[in-house]
Amino acid sequence: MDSVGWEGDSVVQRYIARERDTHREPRVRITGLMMQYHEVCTRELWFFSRGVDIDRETSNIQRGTHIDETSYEGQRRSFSINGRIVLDMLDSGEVMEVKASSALEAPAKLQLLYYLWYLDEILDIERDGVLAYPAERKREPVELDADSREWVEESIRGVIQTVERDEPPELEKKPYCDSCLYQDICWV
Amino acid sequence: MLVIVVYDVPAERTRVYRKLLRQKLEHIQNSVFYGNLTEGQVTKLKNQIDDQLVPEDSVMVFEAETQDYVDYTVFGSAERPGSRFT
Amino acid sequence: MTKPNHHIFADGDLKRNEGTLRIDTLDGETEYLPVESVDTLYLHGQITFNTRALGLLNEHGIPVHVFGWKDHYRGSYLPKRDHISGDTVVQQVRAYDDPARRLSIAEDFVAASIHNMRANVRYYDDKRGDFTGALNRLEGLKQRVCDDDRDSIDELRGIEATARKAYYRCFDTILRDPFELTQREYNPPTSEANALISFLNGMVYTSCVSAIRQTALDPTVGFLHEPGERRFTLSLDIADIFKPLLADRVAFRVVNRQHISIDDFESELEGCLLSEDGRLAVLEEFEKMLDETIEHPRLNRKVSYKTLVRTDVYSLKKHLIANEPYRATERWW
Repeated sequence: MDSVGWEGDSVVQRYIARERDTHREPRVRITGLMMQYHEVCTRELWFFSRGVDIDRETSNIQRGTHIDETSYEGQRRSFSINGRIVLDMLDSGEVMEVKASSALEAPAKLQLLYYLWYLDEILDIERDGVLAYPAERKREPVELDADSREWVEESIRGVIQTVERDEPPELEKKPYCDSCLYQDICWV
Repeated sequence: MLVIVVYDVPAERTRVYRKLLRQKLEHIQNSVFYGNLTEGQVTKLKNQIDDQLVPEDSVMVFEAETQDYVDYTVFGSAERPGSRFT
Repeated sequence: MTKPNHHIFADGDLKRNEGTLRIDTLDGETEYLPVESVDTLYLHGQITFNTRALGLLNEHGIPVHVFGWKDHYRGSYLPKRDHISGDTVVQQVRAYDDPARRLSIAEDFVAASIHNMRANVRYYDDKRGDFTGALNRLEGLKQRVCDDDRDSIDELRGIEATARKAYYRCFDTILRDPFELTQREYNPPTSEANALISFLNGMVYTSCVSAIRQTALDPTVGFLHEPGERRFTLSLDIADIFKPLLADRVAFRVVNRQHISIDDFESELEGCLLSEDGRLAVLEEFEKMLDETIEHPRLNRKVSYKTLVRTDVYSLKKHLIANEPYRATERWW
């Protein structure tokens, strides 16, 4: 393992370099969902990164999926960037992220910011974002500035650190454990 | 949760709802469906009904938190709904 | 909430029709099964089906367990998984291949299995007889599993067999007359009680196959049972934990509450078997049992016995990939 240069700021620099080179497989492929999990619960992120597959009948998950599939149809299109991240673009050019509820706002925001950061850093495309909660008829504009850029990069470091662990982060009771997809594997 | 769906739609549109509902619920009478679904399945079902709806259609969805709250009596030859045996 | 199983006893055709399952029975009846609301399909009758029906079952992740003549288990059709996690299977095989890890998992299975046998005996102690001897015996055997160092799986299997013998010796007293169990015999079962237990053990086994399929563990790589021995060895391992909780409890219940009688069995040259009416009566109780719920101390909610089988397998999976302790299900309620 080439661990040299994976500490500190260079972690992000190295990640950017690898993502720009479309012929190389990144060591850790970070998706928008992983950024969300990092913000919500790093243990959840670890299980997800190990491909732990859980029964998707859980109600919250199904509802989320369905809202995402059917809202704003016709106004937005899905793009796969280098086959690595998938994001939705509105006809107006903004990147859109649709969520079932605003209960977990920070993770959703981080995910969207990551997309904006990715477009900017890897592809040199500057875009603004919009976070939408169709069930609540709410939309919130999201922009990439110095602070949010720092938040994204800090999170990238965090994701890589978690995913490279041999064992998951320790069990910790959180308020949303009861509605988490991984509850049954995490707590049994 | 316990779900009962009934519909009253023009004859040529019954097929649309029958197909949709038979995938999730037991077809207990002509336009009556019964079953136990998760909250997520119910939300999806309602969205799917909504997607199919045209002005002359009428569909009703009854829900109860659990089956325990609903008593029913079966008259006639029909089997009790919810049987796991064929 | 888990979805219910569905059992088809009728003879006929199983087809795909308008996106769901349709059964045309030989009696001329047509039934539709809501494909999105079925957990596992059990075929007890003579059923013809084609690849379109299998394709639909596959799309919805529904395992099918097939029973043949006189309801002998014939095999399972397991739908392919969308996200096979190669990593999980690699970890499972690694653990199997590491003698110390394999032994430690096998010990967890046996300890839980003996614990659950003992819980049944304790329940009937004083109620149906004095089982002090068996209780002490089982207690001692469990301690041996937990305390002693050993280097072979065979020794562990020996303890398990001894425990099971002591356990089955209580059955004759627990079961209401005229049901008798002097000795546990299968292949073929020689008495009504043996036939009943064999049938229910088969149901527990298939329940475990379904649960394992849902977790992406490989059902053929077991830890206590030797792979390739017969059937899915991991299912045999997990089934041993749940036989006392599910099969034996249902057996005691249907016999002692007289849901079935000695007339529900047919004795033939090949041994003793449940009649079709008897099987139906037993399965109804078994399905009820799977739905029964208990408060789970760590999940913060009530879970059904059916979910309990699944969480047991999850716990094993977590142990394999994350090296956190495996908590084999020991009756705590």
